[in-house]
Amino acid sequence: MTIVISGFFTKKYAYTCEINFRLVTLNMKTIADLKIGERGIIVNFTDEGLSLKLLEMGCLPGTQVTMTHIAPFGDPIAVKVSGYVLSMRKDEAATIIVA
Amino acid sequence: MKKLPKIALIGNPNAGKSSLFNSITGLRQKTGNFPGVTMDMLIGKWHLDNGGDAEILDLPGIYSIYPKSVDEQVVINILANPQHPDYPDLAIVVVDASNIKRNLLLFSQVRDLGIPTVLALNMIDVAENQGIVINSVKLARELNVEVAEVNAKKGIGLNGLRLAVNKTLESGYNSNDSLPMDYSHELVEEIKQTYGETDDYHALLWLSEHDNLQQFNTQQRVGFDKIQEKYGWNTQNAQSKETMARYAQLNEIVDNCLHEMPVEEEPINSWTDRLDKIFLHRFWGYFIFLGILFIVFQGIFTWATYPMDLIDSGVATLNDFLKSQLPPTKLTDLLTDGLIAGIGGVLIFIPQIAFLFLFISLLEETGYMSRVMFIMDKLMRRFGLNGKSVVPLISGIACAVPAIMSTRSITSWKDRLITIMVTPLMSCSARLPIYTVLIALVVPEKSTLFGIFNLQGVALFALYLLGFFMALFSAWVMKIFLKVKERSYFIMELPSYKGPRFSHVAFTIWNSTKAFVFEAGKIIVAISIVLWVLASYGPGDAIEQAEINVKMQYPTLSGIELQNKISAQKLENSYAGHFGKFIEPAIKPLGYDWKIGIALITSFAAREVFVGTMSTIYSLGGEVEDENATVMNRMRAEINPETGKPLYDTALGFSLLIFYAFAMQCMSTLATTYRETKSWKYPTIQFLYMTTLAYVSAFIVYQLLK
Repeated sequence: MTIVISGFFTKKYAYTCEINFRLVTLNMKTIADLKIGERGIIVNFTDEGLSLKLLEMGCLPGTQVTMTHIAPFGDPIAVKVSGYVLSMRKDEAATIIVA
Repeated sequence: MKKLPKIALIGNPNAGKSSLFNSITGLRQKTGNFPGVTMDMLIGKWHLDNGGDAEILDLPGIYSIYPKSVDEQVVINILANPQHPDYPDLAIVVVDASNIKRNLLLFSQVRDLGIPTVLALNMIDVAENQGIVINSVKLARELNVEVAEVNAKKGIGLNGLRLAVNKTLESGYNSNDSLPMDYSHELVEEIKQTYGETDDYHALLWLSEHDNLQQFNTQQRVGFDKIQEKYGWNTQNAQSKETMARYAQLNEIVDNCLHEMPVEEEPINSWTDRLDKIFLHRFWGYFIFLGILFIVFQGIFTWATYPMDLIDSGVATLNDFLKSQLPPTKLTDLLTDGLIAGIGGVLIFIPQIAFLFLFISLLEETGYMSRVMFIMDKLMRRFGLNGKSVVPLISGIACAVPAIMSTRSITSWKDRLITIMVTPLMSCSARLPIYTVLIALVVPEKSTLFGIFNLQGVALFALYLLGFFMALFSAWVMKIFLKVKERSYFIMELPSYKGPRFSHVAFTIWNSTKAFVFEAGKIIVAISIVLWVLASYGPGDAIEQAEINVKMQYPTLSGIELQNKISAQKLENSYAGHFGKFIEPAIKPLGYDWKIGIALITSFAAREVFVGTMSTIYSLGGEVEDENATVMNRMRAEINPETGKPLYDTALGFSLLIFYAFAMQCMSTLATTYRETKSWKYPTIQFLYMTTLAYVSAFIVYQLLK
């Protein structure tokens, strides 16, 4: 629940699609929710356009990710995935569901 | 002559492609241009034992054959078109063993394009440190290609690679397995009938990427759209499905060939992790970045001045020598005041440009630059830019032309366009001599700020900051006007830190400097000559009459004073003088007279000619005693005929400084913007907005300080 609230207030001009996808991911944990050092296994993607790029970069369902860095203003973030460090923005990370 | 076989090096960024290229070719390499784009391509020669030499191309790193940015696009344009002059006879796909699945994705795509392929397995030591052991013999059997284990950095395994290449070139073998994903054969047949016989995978690649492929014209592209519609083709969906299908296949293969040994703990405290703790720190990260910027500035503005002074005095000595040796004809004047002065104006920038590219390529080589993008992204996004805009903006301090070309790595069109539009506001090295001369004229040398900082230095730094903040402000304004519904994303690799390859750094410096000297040099030299002609000749016989007129007007004058009056009147009656007079009403509100007008007009082609123009204007026909006087002294001596006080006072000086800080006065930059945006619209807007900004700001400054 906290995801929706914080997401909604920080983005004053939240796009409708953004709200929708926040609702979809309401009860699901995404990479954006990981704390530094925390691990998760990629389960699925919520954004088809981004998923191709993420797949090409080695973010496959079933792969383990570890949150390694969060940039000074909380965004972007960097994760360790299949042996290297990948950086992405927080809203991009929020499209990757982890378990 | 028999055509050499072409071998392309393909691989993910940071997989060790360029290291392998350097190991293979040594110093036998040169730069070429990708046809249609001005992007450097390295070409080298490789001696194959029995087959003679082969030509080897180092292509930009890509993650898949579906490009996301302009620099990736270049590779696809070659690979998608078997008729392309650079289409390879063989591809060496460099695979990073420590990240094998992701790397094999690209490999499998290249292989399915029907290009004979050899796999170079690199970074095996890194993989073993992570507990990953790969059975390359098994891998070769499973993938049905030759696999060569190499250590690209140390140049180990090159013989094995050569053997594999020879074998594959001879057999021309490529494993023509069926594609891993489902697709409509009927659809592929229709493409083949319409666009010519090809393999299935090329046909599908054309269908999904046709809008970005140079090989197709508008009519053909419309044809592809129709086929897409007819078969209900969804490119994104198809590419995702293909990628998943490929990974499914690769997973099985990798599972068979890869042993994962249990490592005690993830090697989290590697060098890279430890350095990132500092470089990405919320305070130290920015502190170090500012520190590095400071060193860069120091290098450009302090250390580079020594070689610059040498060049400057060298050119001056040469000019004096020629003037004393050659007969005093018009031709000698053209050679010394026109041509050599113009060439000197180009050469003087070399130290600064070289220094800047030294720093930038060092930062890129070591992997630090992507950390800068990481910590700057959030800040830059507020202004409609992107973390990746930092590199063009910093490069803009040297020259906007390579800076604009470096925007190609920005994946979002909107972010890229805004970055291109505002980069020329960064104060480039061509503005530096103008700043130096004008600041010396209007800011007292001896004054200090708080007793420590030299006021002239503070003024210079303030001008650079002004350019930077104006760039941010303009970006912010453009962000409001440009409504593009396109997602900007920032998914990128943070490579591990490495020591720089100095040969690579040296090569970058050499290439960038050479490009600047020849590209910008041509324009500057041409303008210097044109200017000299315009200032030496005039309509009618007014110039010849000048001497008689002056003697009649001032019968009491003699010597230097007389000569000065004559040369001034000659200039006033020349073509350049007429041009200057013509625009004088427009620039009067900014405080400029017709002589500055001449400099303004010539500066619109390239601002670096300002100082040269000033010295031409103030030195034409000058007396021998005058030779030692610098441009600065001549400008300082210039009197405003209306007030009788020095012309270059504070108001005029700052008005000129602001004008030059903001005005779009560089044909090369406009040409680059045109080339990169493929439209005249953007260079036009760029020219208009920057010039308007310059005019209005200079007007305000002059009226306030007057």
